[in-house]
Amino acid sequence: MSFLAPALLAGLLAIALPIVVHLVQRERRRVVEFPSLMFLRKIPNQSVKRRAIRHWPLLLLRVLAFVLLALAFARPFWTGSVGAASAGAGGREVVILLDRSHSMGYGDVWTRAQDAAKRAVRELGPADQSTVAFFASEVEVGPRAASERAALVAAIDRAKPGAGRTRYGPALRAAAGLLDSSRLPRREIILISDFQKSGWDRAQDAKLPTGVLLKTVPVGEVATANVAIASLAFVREGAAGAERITTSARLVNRAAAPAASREIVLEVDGHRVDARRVSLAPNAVETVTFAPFTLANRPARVTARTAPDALPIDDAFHGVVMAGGRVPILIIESTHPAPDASLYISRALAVGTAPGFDSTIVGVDRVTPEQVNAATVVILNDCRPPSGSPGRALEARVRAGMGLLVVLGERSTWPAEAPDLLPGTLTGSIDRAGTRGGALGFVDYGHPVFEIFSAPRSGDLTAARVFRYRQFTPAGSVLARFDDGAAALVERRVGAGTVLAWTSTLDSYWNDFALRPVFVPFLHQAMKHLGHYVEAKPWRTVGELFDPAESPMTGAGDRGSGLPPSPNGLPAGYGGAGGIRDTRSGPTRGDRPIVLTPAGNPLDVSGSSWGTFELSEPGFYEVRTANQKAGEGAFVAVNVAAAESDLASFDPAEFVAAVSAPGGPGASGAARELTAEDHERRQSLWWYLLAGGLLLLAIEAFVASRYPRIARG
Amino acid sequence: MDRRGARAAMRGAQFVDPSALARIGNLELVARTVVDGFINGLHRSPHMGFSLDFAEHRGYEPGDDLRRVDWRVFARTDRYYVKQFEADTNANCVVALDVSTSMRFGTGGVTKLDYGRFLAASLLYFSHQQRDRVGLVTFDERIVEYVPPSARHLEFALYALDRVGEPKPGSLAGPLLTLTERLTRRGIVIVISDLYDEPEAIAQAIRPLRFRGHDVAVFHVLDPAEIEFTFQDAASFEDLESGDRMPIVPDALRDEYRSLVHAHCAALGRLFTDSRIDYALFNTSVPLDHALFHYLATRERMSRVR
Repeated sequence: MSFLAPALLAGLLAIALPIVVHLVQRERRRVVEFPSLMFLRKIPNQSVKRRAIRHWPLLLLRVLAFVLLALAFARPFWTGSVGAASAGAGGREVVILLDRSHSMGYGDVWTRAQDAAKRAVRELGPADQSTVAFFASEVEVGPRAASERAALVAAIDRAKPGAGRTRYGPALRAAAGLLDSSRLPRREIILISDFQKSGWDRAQDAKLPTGVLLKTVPVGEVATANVAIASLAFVREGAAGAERITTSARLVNRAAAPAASREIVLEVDGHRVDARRVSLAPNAVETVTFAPFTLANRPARVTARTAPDALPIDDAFHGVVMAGGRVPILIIESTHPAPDASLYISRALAVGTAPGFDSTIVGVDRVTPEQVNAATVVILNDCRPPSGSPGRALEARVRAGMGLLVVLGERSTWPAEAPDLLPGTLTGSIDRAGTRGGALGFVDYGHPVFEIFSAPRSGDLTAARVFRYRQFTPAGSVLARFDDGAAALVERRVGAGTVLAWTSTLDSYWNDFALRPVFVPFLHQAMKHLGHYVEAKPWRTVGELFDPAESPMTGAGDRGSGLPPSPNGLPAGYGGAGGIRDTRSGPTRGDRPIVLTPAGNPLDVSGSSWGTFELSEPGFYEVRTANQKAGEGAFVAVNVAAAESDLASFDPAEFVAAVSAPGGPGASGAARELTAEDHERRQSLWWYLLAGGLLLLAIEAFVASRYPRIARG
Repeated sequence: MDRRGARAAMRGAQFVDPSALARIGNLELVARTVVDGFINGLHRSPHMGFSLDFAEHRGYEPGDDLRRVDWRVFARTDRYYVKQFEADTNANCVVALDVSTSMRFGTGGVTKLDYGRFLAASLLYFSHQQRDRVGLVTFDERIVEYVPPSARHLEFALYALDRVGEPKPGSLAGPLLTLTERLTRRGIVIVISDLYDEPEAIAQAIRPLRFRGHDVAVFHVLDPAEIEFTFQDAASFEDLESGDRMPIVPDALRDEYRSLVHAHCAALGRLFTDSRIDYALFNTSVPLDHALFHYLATRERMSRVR
C-alpha cells in the first residue's frame, strides 16, 4: 500500500488525544467535592493508576476513528499486482520496455532499471503474459513468458546498457505490435527509462492504440553531472609534402556545477601525443586545441579522451583522418593569356580547406596527358581545347568521370575537330558595356553549384555586373542565365563526367564577378560538383549502417592494399577528411570484407546483403580484405550520439499524455499511464476510510451518550 | 419494640420526603409536619404505645432499692418483689448535631446537615410534646451553639438550628467531652453526625457520655453517594474539610470503597453495641419517619425502669 500524501500520516499522532483524555485530562479538569477522603486514601494508589483507562470500547472507538481519518487524509492506494488485479478482470499482456541506451549507464541507473523490470515481472499475475524488450535506437525483443518468469528475469539480468541513443517511437511501435497480436483482454506497456528529452521526437513518435495502458517507471537521477566530448575538428596544413593536422575537441559540461581542470588527452593511433587541461563552467562548452601532428601516408586514428565520470562512454571521442584530402586542379590557359587571366581562379582555389585544392596552371600548348590524368578537374580558362594526345586524354578522362569547366572569353574557340565536350555552340560575343552591364537573371538554386546560395542572405549572385559574354547556344541544361536570357552557365553530362560552360570570363575584364564575395564559394562548389566530391565523415555514430561497397576501402593507402586502386591515384574513401569518389574504384560486391569491432571481435557480415553491418560500439572498426594484414585495413571511427549525453529528462506524464490514444483511459478502459494519483483516484480508498471514520465517530457519540459525563469530558 | 415492629408501624405512618421538607424554611413547621403525621400513624398501630402505665414485678435482688419493694405483694405472698414502674417523664433530651464542613455534602437536593437539622428539630419537637426537657448542641471542632435542656427551650433550640454558622472542620472528641462536662443531669443524648473518623476514636469520644449515665443514641447520617459511591466520572476528589485532592476513577474503586464503608459502619455498630450505645445509619434519601421510629424504639427501651 502506498500513500499519496504520506506526510499526513503524522495525523496518526492524534490517537494520543483520546488516550490522554482517558488517562489524564478528565481527572485533572473535574473536581468533585467529597466529605472525606478517609476511605479513598485507604485504597492502594497503584490500583488506581493501573486501571486508569476506563471504557475501553469507547477509547478503541475514538482511536480507530482517528486512525481511519488520518489514513483517509493520507490518500492510500494499492500498488502492484493486487491493485492491478483489482482494476479489472482477466489476464494482462504486458510488454516490459527496458531502455538500454548508453545514458542508462549513468551511475547506478541501470541497476535500478533492472530492479524495476524484475519487480514488474514479479508483480505479474498467474493469468498474465509478458514480453521483455530492450530498446535504444533499435528494439530487441527478448523472451516471452506466460508462466515461467525465470526466463524473463534471466534476460533482464543478462542485459547491459548499450551504446545506442534513446528513441521511444520505435520502441512503442514495437510494443504496440506485440500487444496487437495478444488475445488477452488487458494490454499494458511498462516503460522503464531515464526519460531523456533527446529521445522523444514529439513530431514523429508513435501513438498507442486504444486500450493499451502505458505505465512509466522513471529510474533516472534528478541531478546529473556529465562532461562529454561532443566532436572533433581537424584542420589541415600542407607542410613539406606532408600534412599537419591540428585537432580541436569540443567539450560539453552538462551539469549545474563547474568542472575544474579536467585533463584532455589526444591519442593518435593509440599513442598519447598531447594533453591539455580545461575548466568548464556550468552548462558550458569549451574547445580545446591540441598541438598539430604530422599525418603519415595512412589513416590516423585520433581519439580525444578525458577522465571517466559517471557516464564514461561519452568521455572519449574518435575520428579517422585520411591522408591526402586535397583535390588537384589543372588550369589550362591560352598560349598568350592576359597577365592575370588565372589569378582570381588560382587564388580562390588556394583558400579552399574542405577540401583543399592544388591548382596547376599550364598553357594549352604545353599541357601533357599526364597532367590531365593527374587532375580531378580541368579548367579551360579562355582558351581553345588542347589538341593531340592531351586533348584525347582530356576527353577520355571526362568521359571517365573527370570534371571540366570551360570558361569562355574572347580567346575561346572550339574547333570542329575538338572533342565533343562543350555543352553548346559558341558563336559571337555580346557587349553590354553601354548599358551599364548585365547581371544574372535566373539561377537554378536547386543545383549543387548554387545550392549554398539558396538560403536568404547567403550571397547575392545578381550583384555581379557582366559587361561582355559569349553568345552561346546551350546543348545541355542551363543553370544560370543573364538578365537578357542569354545562357550564363550550362551543364552537360559527358559519359561519367560533367562539363560546365561559363559564358563569360573569370577575371576582371568582362565582369566583376571575380571581385564579388560569392565568387570563391561559387568556384569551390563548382569544383566539388565537377570532381564528384563526397564529403566523407571522419566518424560515424552508433546505430548507423555501414556499407563497405559504398565507400571504397582504400584506407591505409590504396597502394599496398590489394584493392583495385584508383587509376588517378586519388586518395578517395570513407573516413577521410574528404575525397573524390572514383566510381571505378572500390571492391566489387562479391568481396566480403573482414570486420573487426572496436573490442577486437570479428563481426560476421556474411548474413547481410552486400556486407553491410550496423555500427553498434564506439571505437574504431577495422574493415579489410582477406589479403590485408591487421592494421592495414580501413578504419571507421564510431562515437555515441552526442544528444544522448544530455541527461535532461522530461515528465513521463506528459509523454504518456502525448502518446496515449484520444479518449483517455476512461473511454478506452486503460489507455494511459496510471500515476500514483490515478491509482488513488481509481481506488478511492480514502472515501471508505473517511466514511468508516465518520461512522465510528457517530457510534462513539452514541456510546458516549450512554456515559454522559464522559462524553462531556 | 423490636425493629420488625417499628417497620410494621411505619407502614401506617406518613412518609415525609426530606427533599420536600427542605423546601420548608421553618424548622418548627417541619418538625410539626413530621411528628404530627407520625403520631397520627401511631394511633392505628395496636402494638405501640409506651405511654400506657405498665408495671411488673420481679424478684428482689440484693442491691435493689428497698423503696421499690412492693410490700403489699410481700404481705400476700411473703416474698419480696420489686415493683417496676412505667417510663419516666420529663427526661432531658439533648441533641448533639455535627455542623462541620463534611456535613454540608449532599447529592439528592438535601445535604446531610439539612437532614440532621430536620431530624434534630423533629426529635426536639417530639420530645417536647412528651414533656421532655429539650436541649441542643451544635459542634464542629468545638461547640458552636449550646442550648441547655429545658422544657421552654424548644424555640431557642430551633432557632439555633436555623443559624448554623460558617463551615469548619469537625471533630468529635473535644466537643463531646465538653458536652459531657456540661450535662450534669442524666438524660438522653442523641448524637447526629457523619462520623468521619476511625471507629475506635469515635467510640472513645462518645463513651464518656455513656459513662456519665446518659442514654446515648448515635445517628450516623450519610448521603447515598457516600454509601454507594455512585460517581461515574473520573475526577479529582477534594476533601471538603482538608481541601486535599486525589485523582479518582470511581468505577475502579467503587467496590473497595463500599466494602470499606460497610466495614466502618459495622465496626461502629459493634463498638457502640459493646458500649450499650444505640447506633443507627441514616441515609439522607430515607424519609424522616424512619429516624423517628428508630428514636421511639430507643426511647421505649430506655423508658423501662429497672
